[in-house]
Amino acid sequence: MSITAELAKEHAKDPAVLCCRAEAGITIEPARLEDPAIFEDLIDSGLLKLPDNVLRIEQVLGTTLKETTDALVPLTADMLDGLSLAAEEPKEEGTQAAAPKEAASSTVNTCFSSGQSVKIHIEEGRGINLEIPLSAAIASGLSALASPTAAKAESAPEKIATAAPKAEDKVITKKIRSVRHDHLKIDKVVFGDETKIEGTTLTIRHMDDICKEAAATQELVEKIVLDIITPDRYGEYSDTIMDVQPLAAKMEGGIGEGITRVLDGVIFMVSGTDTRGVQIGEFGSSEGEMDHNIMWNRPGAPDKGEIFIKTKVTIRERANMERPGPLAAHRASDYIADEIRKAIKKASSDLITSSEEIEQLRHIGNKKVLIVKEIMGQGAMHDNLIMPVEPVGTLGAKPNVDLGNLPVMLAPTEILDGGIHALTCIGPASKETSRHYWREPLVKAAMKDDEIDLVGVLLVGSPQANSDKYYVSERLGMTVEAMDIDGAIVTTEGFGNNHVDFASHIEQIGKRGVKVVGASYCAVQGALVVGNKYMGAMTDNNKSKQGIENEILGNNTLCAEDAIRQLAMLKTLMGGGTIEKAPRKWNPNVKLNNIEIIEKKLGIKIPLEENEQVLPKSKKRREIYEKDA
Amino acid sequence: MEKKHELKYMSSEQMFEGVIVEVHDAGVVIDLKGRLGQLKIPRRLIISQYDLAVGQEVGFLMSYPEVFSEEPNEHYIKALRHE
Repeated sequence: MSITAELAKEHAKDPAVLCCRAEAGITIEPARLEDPAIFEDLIDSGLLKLPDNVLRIEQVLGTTLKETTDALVPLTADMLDGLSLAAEEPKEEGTQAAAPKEAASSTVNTCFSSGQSVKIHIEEGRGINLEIPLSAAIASGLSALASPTAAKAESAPEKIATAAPKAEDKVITKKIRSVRHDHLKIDKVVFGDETKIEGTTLTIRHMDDICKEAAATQELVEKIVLDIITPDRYGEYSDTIMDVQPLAAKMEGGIGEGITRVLDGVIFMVSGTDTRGVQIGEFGSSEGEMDHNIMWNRPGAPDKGEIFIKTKVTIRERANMERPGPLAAHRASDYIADEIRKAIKKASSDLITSSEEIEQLRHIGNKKVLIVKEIMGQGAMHDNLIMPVEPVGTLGAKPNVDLGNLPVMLAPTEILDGGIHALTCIGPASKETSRHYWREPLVKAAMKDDEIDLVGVLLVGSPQANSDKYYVSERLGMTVEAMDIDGAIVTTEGFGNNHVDFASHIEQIGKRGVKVVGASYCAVQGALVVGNKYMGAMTDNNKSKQGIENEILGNNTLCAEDAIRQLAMLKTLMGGGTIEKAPRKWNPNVKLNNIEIIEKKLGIKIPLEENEQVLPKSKKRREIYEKDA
Repeated sequence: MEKKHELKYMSSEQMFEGVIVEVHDAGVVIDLKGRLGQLKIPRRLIISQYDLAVGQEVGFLMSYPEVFSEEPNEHYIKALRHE
């Protein structure tokens, strides 16, 4: 495949390789050269070997070939007439690899020369804080880049250093809304005569009664069993975990504002099968011993030591694969959760152990940033209920599938206050449960970041058919255009055809001149299937050692460490920096390099999440598999 | 899952064709042409320009599944028995 003059210019520093057999005496033109983009494939398959003294494309153009030469032969000085003197240099300097290395180190240097600002605190001005950036900049960068056919990653330390400050650069901080979370501690859950909270004990009404009533609310639900899982029972079998939810209730105001009470030390868990015993949403499910299947302390998973109030819902035979089935299981379970919410509301305020104010601030004058969260919308459990009346409830919420998967804007406080009830699809390791949204690390990090101006969180569904995907994506583009923002971070949940619209969203945003960073689980198994030129700044949420969907709940979901990288990368781009190109194959070291760069630049320590390696293994796995692990 | 599994017959994938025989809200069932079996996959793992319908033909690359070890994994045995 020959290249055009334009492509030759773009790849001027890349190795020159003949694309076809060429006769002696011909002049080397772009059309005679192979596209450097496919070199790595050719090298992998053994079709091409690049010697150290291969010439660059810019050196060979216009020269004459001395002898007739076969296709895919790298050009060296001894094969050509008419080489300019400059052509000799690369032989001394060494390989092509030197160029990127140099580029990387120079960007690091600029990086350290940036980022000054003056903070003015006016003592008597009722606490007004003005921040005037001297050199605009902020942090460093980091990245992991994905390209069209495979998940790839590579660091890109960056810099900033832009224009001098202007008077209008002053940042005004404005509070938009806030929600207070009052925490109640629970360390014991028992069955009793009525659902109530006394001291640190949660009593749930007799299981037979409450479960019978809950099952009766849904035509498709045949039976519900409620179980209280204490830490000593973590080793027991459980059906596939369909969702993990916080137990929280509104005391004042709607979701995203006012006051919410939340129970600490206990979570609500939904699981179920149909009457044949087939898991709901069965696709080779991940039922099994809980302590083997849960990545503790992930945003969407239970924390180790918490008590689970777990439903086991049995739905009508074969209803497990149709949309009403999983939805009925969630709604019936929510009947029980709702009774607990009512008890939370009635609990004495003396039981509140701590309070936390979650504030939504605008930092007007800073770069405007939008978080776009792509949520699943292909149907059945590929759905999310948006904005219920109670935190993570079902009543009053609209499924995004019914909303046509079109973009819906939520305030960051609405996300963190239970605005999403997730039906959470397959792929336990990358699924975002309801609790994930409640503790969404990127939203939290962006809200706390006073160097940006977070404008909102836009949810957009991922429909099944590509035609629908592009319809939705184009509306997203128009919404972003009208918002006049500077940067966006697009996240998606897991992998599959949602990567088609994920790529399209990034394109729609990027082509409007808005800086954009993408975040997804990719690694090995979730490699991207499509790409475009705006997908230059990508971060990978993978945590698993092998880069795969390893069936462990929450393992590869977006965590605090990812949020730091995503924000650092976006700030790098918005500050005028660039992101280095990713290597062709997934390389987990890229992420570690990026973490290191950010740690150095910001002088902070970023704690990395643990992965499945810390979970217990069966005797056999220890004996047979762990030998080489 | 901790073990680094390796295939002995890497990159032996070939194009297979199939026909969608069941469409559910959760996923689809595909018959491999030539009575070569069935695939049941969630909706997110099938890419389509159009709404999914029974009778649509699909194509994909697939290799033969290779068994890694003679020893069954007890974790999965227990899960299948709901233990």
